[in-house]
Amino acid sequence: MDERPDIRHTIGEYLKARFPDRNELAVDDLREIQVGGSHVIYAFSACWRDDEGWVSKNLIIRREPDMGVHGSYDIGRECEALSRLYEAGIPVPVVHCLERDTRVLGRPFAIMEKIEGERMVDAWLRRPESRKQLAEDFVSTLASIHGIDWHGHGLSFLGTSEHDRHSAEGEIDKWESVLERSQYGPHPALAELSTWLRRNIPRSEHATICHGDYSPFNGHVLNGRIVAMLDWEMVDLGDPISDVAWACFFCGLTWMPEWDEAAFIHRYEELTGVEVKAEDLFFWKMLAHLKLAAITISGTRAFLESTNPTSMRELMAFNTLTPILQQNALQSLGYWKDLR
Amino acid sequence: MRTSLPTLLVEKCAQTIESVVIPALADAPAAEQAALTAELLRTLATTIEEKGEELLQENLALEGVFRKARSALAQQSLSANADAVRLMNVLDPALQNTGSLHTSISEENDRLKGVMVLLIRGIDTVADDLPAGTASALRESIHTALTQLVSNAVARVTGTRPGEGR
Repeated sequence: MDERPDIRHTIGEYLKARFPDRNELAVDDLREIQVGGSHVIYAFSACWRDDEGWVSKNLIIRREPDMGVHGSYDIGRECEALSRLYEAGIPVPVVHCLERDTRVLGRPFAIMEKIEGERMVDAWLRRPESRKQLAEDFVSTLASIHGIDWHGHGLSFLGTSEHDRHSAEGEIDKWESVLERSQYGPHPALAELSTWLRRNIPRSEHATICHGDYSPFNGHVLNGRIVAMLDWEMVDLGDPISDVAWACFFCGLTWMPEWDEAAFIHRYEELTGVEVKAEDLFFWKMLAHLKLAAITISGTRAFLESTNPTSMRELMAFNTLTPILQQNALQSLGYWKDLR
Repeated sequence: MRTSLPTLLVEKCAQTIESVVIPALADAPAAEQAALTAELLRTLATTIEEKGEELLQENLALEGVFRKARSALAQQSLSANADAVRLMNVLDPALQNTGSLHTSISEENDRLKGVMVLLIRGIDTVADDLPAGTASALRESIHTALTQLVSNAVARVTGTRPGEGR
């Protein structure tokens, strides 16, 4: 992506005012690295002089989107969670500052540590020799997240400790609402999926911190190891099987070679002591279809109505994925008919 | 009236050519060609009609399901069921207004899909009062229609023929 001298200037002035003790602070090489459906992200480097000499850091700006794919962005909530997750030993980026004043960049934003490396999905595809370790890191990081004493770490603000049916019902309500707001036509197949979901809500055994988008696209890898989980915008208190199912669903959807779902589940059970029942996993995978379909439909709208240049690659992917998800869901539920 | 998704997609292509491609083109004739292409796309965007025959078939299939549902809901056992009455009040106007000269095939398709959503959401509330086999037969016909709708949608985005998808 191209440099953005306008944003660079704004952020340079902002940081000087915000951190007056950082002498000769300079911002350089600010580039937009993600636009469109979700957070707008800029990468840049900043250097300044303090008592011990020059300091240089690679940072990112994570700005709330104008529209977004799910309509419930709250960068403040996300930053609060990230800070507490960091304290709890979860590999997440360090948050340097949060700015809610929309006069700076038009929307609230945060400045965070830039995690070096590559996405887990890319590392998995490019370096087959690292897959075994990545699979272990992927499951053990999830187990660590689910093992957090969320009350003790001040994370109870994320949601209610009620579980039972609450977590799943809330998710179905949320994604149905996103679909309705997207306004791109009725989707009968997704209505059928929602109806099935409401008929088959499992009883959740307990509530844990849930990442909400635990996928190989959000694991970040350096030297063959997962060093951070990114994109905590959907973090919540909920049923841990929702994260397990989302991870399995995404790894399957991405056709990751040598991905072994059964081994992932088995290891998760070993690490957490939580039994992953087949029927619960199936339910949450079906909910994952509804959730991703809502995201792709809502994301298509966000891309189309954005006044910024759009990522045509993501727009095409979203537009293509929507009906394929519906087909997969109908097939999985046994509702797909032979039309010949 | 909602602008159709294909129209918006084509408009977005024109916008991308204008805001991303043309500024990056150093060659003036190439930039002119790109600008004309964008202009042409904008003109075409307003005239797009989704595959008419395919949507017509979908509309007929949806109407077929509604007739079956309407017939099932007319059972004596449902005469006192308020949910059944509500569903009939949705289905009756949907069946009476089919083929209106004042709407395009795609608008009709959208309208019928909206009715299908209401039918899907409502069928559970009346299923217990339907004769044995009627509810499951109705669900079967709903699933057949859904398969047709989704199969067509997959074909549109993958460039395959309906039923040829994965």
